[in-house]
Amino acid sequence: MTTTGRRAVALLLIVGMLSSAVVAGGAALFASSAPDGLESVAESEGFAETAEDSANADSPLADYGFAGVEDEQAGFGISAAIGLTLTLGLGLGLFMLLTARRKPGELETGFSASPRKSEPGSPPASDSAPDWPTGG
Amino acid sequence: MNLGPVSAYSRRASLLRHTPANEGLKERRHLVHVPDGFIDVPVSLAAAGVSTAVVAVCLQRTRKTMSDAAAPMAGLVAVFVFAAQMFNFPVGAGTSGHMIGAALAVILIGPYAGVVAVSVVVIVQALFFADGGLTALGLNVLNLAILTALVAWPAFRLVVRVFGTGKAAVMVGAGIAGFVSVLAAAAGFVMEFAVGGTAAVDTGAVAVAMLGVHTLIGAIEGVITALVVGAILSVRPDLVTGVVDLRKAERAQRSEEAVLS
Repeated sequence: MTTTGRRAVALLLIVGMLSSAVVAGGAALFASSAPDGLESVAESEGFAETAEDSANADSPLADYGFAGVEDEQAGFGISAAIGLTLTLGLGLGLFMLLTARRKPGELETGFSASPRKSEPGSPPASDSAPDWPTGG
Repeated sequence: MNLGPVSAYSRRASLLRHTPANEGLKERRHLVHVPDGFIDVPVSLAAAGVSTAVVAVCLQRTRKTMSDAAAPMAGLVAVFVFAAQMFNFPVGAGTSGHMIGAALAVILIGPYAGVVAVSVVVIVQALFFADGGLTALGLNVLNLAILTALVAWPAFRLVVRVFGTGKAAVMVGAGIAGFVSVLAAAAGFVMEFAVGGTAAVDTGAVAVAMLGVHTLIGAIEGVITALVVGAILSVRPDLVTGVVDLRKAERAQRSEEAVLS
């Protein structure tokens, strides 16, 4: 990858992580603690009591808290930071692994995020039809 | 007052409300997915089977179609979806809703990678945050990552094919995709409840209540999806996978017309 390419990716990662952090921070400060759609329906229709705790209900991060931190907002914030990092690690790792495991020449056109420029060594993009139902 | 053993009922009640009966138990505020127990084990396992098969196909398609340069954006979409799902906004009295983000994901990184990204989020939530049951994981992946994508992608593509890929049309398409995706997830739960619900509760009433509250939540999902897609389209249109091929085709047609005229 060229230096400009690397810079563009770094910028994208910084902007993307910052905007996610802002959303999570907003959630820590302002999120409603009322039961969500499914939960309120379960209450009003009378099947909330059938819920069981999952096997890991006592995990240190359960319910977006952080074991040992009493302050709910602080716990939520720490939990959110860990969650964002975990998701970045697993998500980015998975997608990089998937693209890395592709054999040369296996890249097909279809629906997946496109780079700004075609990469050197990749086959020229063809106009083949997408294989996903395109709804039109 | 003898409360008996701490049953699932009282533990669950503690998740919802602090009442004198469950004082001392932890109140939970952010529990947003299908927990264990709502749907019986056979239906949960069937959903897990379907979800596993669909995610496997999506992984395979992503491996074959995603360019190396697109991987960072796909990872970021997963992170943003995780953050967005934490933000419960109030919808009416005593109820909240949160974004699913699946419509946003499929529009930004395509349907296959979109399903994968949202699945990663739902799995992280269930494994590490005890949000959504472990037995119910297949149900949550099916409802939140797969059924949502299955309606959001065709809805978005239909709008941009008919009305073009200008910013207004793209935002309208994104809004509609966000709206229908939430209804699809809610409808998915209702169907699962109809087949495998453990409570003796009338499915019709559950359907009306679920679709009613999720119409509101869906409207908000639609607005946020439209705003985010619109913003990214303005700055980096190349990152909006759902329009990249159509825009390329439009450009090709325009240059062809220019040559002919």
